Amino acid sequence: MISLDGRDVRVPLELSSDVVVVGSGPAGAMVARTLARRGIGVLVVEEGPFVTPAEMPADSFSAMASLYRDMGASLMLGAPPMPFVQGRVVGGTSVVNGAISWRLPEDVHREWVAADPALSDALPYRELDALFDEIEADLGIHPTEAEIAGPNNLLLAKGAEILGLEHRPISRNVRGCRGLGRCLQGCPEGNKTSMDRSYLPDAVRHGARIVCNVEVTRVVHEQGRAVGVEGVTPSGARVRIRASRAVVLAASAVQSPVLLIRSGLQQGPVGRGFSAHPGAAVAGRFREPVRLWEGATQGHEVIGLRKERLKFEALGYDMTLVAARTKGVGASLVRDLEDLAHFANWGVAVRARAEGVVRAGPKRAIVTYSLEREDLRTTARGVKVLCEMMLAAGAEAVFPGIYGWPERVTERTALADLPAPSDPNAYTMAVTHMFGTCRMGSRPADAVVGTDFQHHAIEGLYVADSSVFPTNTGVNPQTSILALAAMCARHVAAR
Amino acid sequence: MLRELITDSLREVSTRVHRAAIAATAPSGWTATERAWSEALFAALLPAEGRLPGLATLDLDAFWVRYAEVAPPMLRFGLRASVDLLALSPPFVLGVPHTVLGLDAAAREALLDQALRSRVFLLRQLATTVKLVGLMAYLRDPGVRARVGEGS
Ligand SMILES: Cc1cc2nc3c(=O)[nH]c(=O)nc-3n(C[C@H](O)[C@H](O)[C@H](O)COP(=O)(O)OP(=O)(O)OC[C@H]3O[C@@H](n4cnc5c(N)ncnc54)[C@H](O)[C@@H]3O)c2cc1C
Ligand code: SF4
Repeated sequence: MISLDGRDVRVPLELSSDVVVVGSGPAGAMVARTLARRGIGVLVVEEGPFVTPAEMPADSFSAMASLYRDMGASLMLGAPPMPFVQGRVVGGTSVVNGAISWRLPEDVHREWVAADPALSDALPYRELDALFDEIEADLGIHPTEAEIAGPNNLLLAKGAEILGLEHRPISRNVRGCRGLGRCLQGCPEGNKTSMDRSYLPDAVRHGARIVCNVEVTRVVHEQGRAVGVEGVTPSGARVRIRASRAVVLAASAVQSPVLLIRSGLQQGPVGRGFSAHPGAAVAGRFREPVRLWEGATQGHEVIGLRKERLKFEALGYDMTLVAARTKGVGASLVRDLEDLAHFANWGVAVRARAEGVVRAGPKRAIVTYSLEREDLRTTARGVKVLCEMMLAAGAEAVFPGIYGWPERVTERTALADLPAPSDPNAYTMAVTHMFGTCRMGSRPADAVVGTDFQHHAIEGLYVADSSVFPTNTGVNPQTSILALAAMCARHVAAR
Repeated sequence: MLRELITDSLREVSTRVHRAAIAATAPSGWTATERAWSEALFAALLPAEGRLPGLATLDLDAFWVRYAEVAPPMLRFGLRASVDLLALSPPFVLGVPHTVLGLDAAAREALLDQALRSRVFLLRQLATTVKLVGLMAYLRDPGVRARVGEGS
């Protein structure tokens, strides 16, 4: 599938194409396959390596080392300090994500249009809906079957049902999933229809080329027009790629603004308006074995509190991350490890109101992002609901993981009067969904790209990823990113 | 206090002498003292117990080599700072005039435990970093994974 591996390039290299796409995650893959299917020459440049299913590692460390950016330990500066987690591999974060699929909720779309009525024509919901139908068919998106769900998912269903919260099996982009519980380390059987298993091979079949292990360092623009990109291989060799028609940034909501800034393109609120879904997790001990590293990694969700900006998911992890959720050290940690098969782990994603900033550091993106007081309250409420569901489902004990709360809770009544700590550092959270750093909008002063996804100041330069989203979505973003990227590709094709 | 700290230093020197015989428990580039501290902390984090081997008894060479290749500077700095500060923290955390090397196994465990539960956010972060990296190294071992996976 790979035309050129940057590891093999040790001298300066010049390439050219009609369109250069930076990044091979959902946004880049969708742009590439849409354009390639129309006979347009496409070259996708990806910083990460190409990894086959057989090479996907089982343990967290090896997976983080080979598939994630900075080992999944990129840290945002703020309160609380949170890692932002991204894939860095051909297929982007889709290779290591939970395969959860959601259409952009109509109420979120209405918010976007209310804030900028021009989006009503630019992103008509009817058209998005039609794209969602296509994407769901292409990627085999369907609800998780009970047979492969495994106890971690089924217990969440039980807890939600007892509490009367709306819940359902998660619709995922998988085909022939056997519930091996390794989505976050990359599916070892290729059953997840991540981009490396779906749209990228399709793009290549239609003539697209993929270059891996080349980091794009800047967009080349001349007289207000994008004409290509410059990049570098691991050995330091320069790669210059000319684009006769367009350059499309699909490097993610953190890396795309960094590229614009590094290219001297400071137009509009680039890097500002960073929004996210910070997530917290709760572990619980059950009498019966859960073995949460088996079964569909993320197979069940609770959606009844979405209006309160909360969404809950079963969260199957590798045993390393489950163990990190336990409280003790020494003999007590070893006892927990021996007992780890009895732990369940569920997560809550918060549609936070906070906004942050992405800046370009000397080598890496610098993200500053602090939760607002209301976000902390929402998180505490979410953690409480997770604990309640776990106890209702039969957990002997739950571990809320909020500093200042009891470490171990065995009765729902013990949760009733716990106040939400106002100290952000009491919360342990991470971010996996990011948006808004190159916002789309009709007014150049408030937006980086126009309603046709094209940069307001540079002709032929497009942004296709969730940087362009006006707000966060409150739901898992991959399918929305795919749909918007398809729309972006249509504009590029029409040039 | 001074006498105890000198004793600790002598212990560190003697540990250096024995280093070659012990499985690597720290990234390359660390001083011998830091390696001894790291070994003491990781051994206290995951001692041999029941069916599971101690972290310090595993061969972690391959882990540290890969860690050096891929860990971002922030994590590398964070782990080193965590080990250094925790090793020197017993006077503040436990109220005893020792580095971690002057503590017995139970006190080392108590040090990590109290740091993890500390009211001071920085201390919690230091101990969490050591715990996370220690678990990554530990649960990379196929034998350990198999034994943890069996437990039910
Ligand atoms: C652990 C985890 C689980 C998740 N689970 C889900 C889920 O179940 N469902 C869901 O909808 N979403 C999920 N997400 C989020 C989802 O995967 C992302 O929102 C989505 O992949 C973003 O798509 P993207 O194309 O914008 O960016 P990415 O998928 O991040 O792809 C960007 C690509 O660009 C490359 N790149 C970046 N900079 C450069 C450069 N300078 N030069 C060359 N290449 C570059 C990167 O290496 C990367 O491969 C999850 C995320 C994580 C981290
Ligand atoms: S749950 Fe397992 S089989 Fe299914 S897609 Fe994920 S890793 Fe593959």
